[in-house]
Amino acid sequence: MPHPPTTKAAGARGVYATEAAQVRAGSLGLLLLLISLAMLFGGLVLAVLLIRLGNTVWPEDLPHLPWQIWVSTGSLLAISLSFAGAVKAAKQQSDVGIRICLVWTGVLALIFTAMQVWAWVNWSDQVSQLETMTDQHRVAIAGFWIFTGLHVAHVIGGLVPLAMLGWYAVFRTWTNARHGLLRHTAIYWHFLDAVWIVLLLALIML
Amino acid sequence: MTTMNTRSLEQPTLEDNYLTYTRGIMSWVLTLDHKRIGVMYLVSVLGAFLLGGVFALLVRTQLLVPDGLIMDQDQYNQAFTLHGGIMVFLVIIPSIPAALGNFVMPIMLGAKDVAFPRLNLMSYYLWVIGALCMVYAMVGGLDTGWTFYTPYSIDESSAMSGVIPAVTGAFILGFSSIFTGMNFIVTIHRLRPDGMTWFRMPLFLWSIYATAVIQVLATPVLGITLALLAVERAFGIGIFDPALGGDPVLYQHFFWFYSHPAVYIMVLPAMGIVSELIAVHSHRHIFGYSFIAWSSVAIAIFSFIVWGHHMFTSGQSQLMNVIFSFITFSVAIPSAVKVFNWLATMYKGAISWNTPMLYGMGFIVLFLIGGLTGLYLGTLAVDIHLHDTYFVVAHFHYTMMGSALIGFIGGLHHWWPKITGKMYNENAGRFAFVLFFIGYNMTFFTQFMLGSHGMPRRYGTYPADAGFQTYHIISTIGAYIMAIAFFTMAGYFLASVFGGRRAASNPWGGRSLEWQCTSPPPHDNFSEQPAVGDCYDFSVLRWDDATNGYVWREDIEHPGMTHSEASGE
Ligand code: HEM
Ligand SMILES: [Cu+2]
Repeated sequence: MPHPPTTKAAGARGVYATEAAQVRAGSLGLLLLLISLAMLFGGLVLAVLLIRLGNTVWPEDLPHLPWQIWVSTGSLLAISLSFAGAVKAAKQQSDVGIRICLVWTGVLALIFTAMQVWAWVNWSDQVSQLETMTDQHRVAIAGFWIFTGLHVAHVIGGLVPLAMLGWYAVFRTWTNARHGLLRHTAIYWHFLDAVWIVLLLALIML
Repeated sequence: MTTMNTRSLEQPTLEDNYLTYTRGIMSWVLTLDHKRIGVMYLVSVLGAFLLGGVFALLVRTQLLVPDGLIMDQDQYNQAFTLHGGIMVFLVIIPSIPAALGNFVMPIMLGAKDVAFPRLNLMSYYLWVIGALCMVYAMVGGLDTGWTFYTPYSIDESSAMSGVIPAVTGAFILGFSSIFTGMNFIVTIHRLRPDGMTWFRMPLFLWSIYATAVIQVLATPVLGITLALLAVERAFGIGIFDPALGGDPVLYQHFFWFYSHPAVYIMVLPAMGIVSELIAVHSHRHIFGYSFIAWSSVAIAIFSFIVWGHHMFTSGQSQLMNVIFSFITFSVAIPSAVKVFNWLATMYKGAISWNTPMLYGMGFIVLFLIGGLTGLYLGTLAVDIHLHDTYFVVAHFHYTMMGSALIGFIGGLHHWWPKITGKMYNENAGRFAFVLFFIGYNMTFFTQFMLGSHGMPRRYGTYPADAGFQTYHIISTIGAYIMAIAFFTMAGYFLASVFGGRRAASNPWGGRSLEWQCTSPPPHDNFSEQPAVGDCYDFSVLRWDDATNGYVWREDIEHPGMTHSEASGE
């Protein structure tokens, strides 16, 4: 079955003169989205850390960061690398390279998500064993949930285009028309990576 | 049944326009056409305006007598909260960018649509969902004021159950606004046709652009603040509530970090509209184009560093107070630059006293009062006395209603012929303006007096012997007069749709691109790429009695794109 042209000009109304122009518009849109999300996460971290700094006494018996977090951090970093690999393979017109890198990325993304869920189980176990529960405990515990939860929500947003790309690379013949989506998805995941590092630092400080 | 043939005989230019291009309800519900999305926003925003207006009238009616006429204290708290929440989040913020901006921005630019039409439609439905959340919040009850200050919004014993739906609604509306902003920035960067350089763009586009930057940068901060508030409320996490170890002043910082820039989300687009109204209806080249353009950008930047002037009495450090007070004054400079340039444009212009022009001039007067009283409030020592009094209420109504909303109404009159293809009754329009202007100043000027005499805001009753009642009565009568004015507008707008005179392509003598396509515009805006000239050079146009509109002068060569009326086809 022949598949439809990959990037149709929006609404087929010929808003863009060329496909390249459409990709360029997409890049700018993505940049603005990321700036906006950076403000969102930045505001979150700032608010929680300011509360932390505003409290001179802070509980000593808080749950430890689950070990799974470190595995997921590793896999997120690896995702950035394998995405970079896919983009490079696309530039070199290597279909096999794209396929391998994208499948790898998909596996790593699943590992990341599974590890985060496992970390949540670990965390709630630790929380249920706490003997005291002050207001400060609540903030610290909620901080973990909010940081990781909001981040995972954005990861899920990134899984969608990743799955589309993976499907396309494995079951279809790759065309250059997919390069725009590949580049944009890669940038989005690099962003998720950077945000995660900031969140992790904040979690360590909490 | 009209056949194609007779219809085109009766209404030759109505044939292919965006309204008739496709038919049926689904062709609207799923439309990707920026013009239809703009119209859907327009209808929705006006509906929300009616609802917010009802609450305003309830508030004003209550205050006719010292003990309160119609509500108890709790009901009063809800009435002013819903009034403010609806007007800010559902009406003023989306009114110009999302409704009028969506309609005219791509056409003015010479583009076929916005950069991301699907995202545009999604923004609209996010607005609808946000609005539904707000309505649902009304059922649960909401009495925190539009600012959702903690601890009012958290404290179990007083906060009502509408808080979570309302902040969820505001959160969703925020994302609607962010996506619109993104869409507009990309459109202006990427869809400018050849010849449309940055400094040939109509000033409305500059102001929409500056607004969009604020939308993208500031709104996420409101989003996360409200999300944290909802989490705090639902799970008892102490972030902003002092009873749980949180910091209420932190909430105020976060809220105003968004909401001061947000007041420029409201007023900047209105300033853009006024630049168009003044130039077009004075038939004179806009004075100081680049000053007006850059002042929009300057305002957008300054707006991020003055939020602390809302918190002079919150207990923030004295040093912060002084710094914020000084920076606040600087906002006045780019605002004044605009006012001087508008006045210079009108000076020696050939002013047509059309309804849109009346709103343009009304804006200048009301914004002057609003902006100058902002400087009073920005003066630290004065604000200590005036904070949380009716003086503040008067100030922000002069800026939000007298300026932002007036810009919107003026723009609506200006582009109504373009949107609907019909002319409204001009005399009715002028009459409604005068009525509005009188009612407006009766309502709000008195509130400066009330405030400086010490009447606090958000109180449903007041002492009988404090000398407040006379002002309150005048204010309330003014509000009723304004209501009559708005119903008059609704009347002649509706009448024009059903029986109005056909609008020419260019009824006012504008030169930006939207006046070069038919009224209403065709589905694709332009069949050929229009030639872009100086959009404020009106000397090339002349009035034409036959079409009741302006046409290109025969003795001047048209730069391109066939001009249907000038060529007399
Ligand atoms: C020259 C420009 C302006 C200056 C210097 C200024 C200054 C101020 C100051 C100092 C306050 C705080 C008063 C207090 O609470 O004690 C204030 C309140 C306010 N201003 Fe302005 N303002 C300006 C323009 C505007 C504009 C253009 C808008 C809206 C379109 C606006 C909307 C508001 C609102 C909504 C509040 C009060 C919000 C509340 O407490 O509920 N202002 N302004
Ligand atoms: Cu402010």
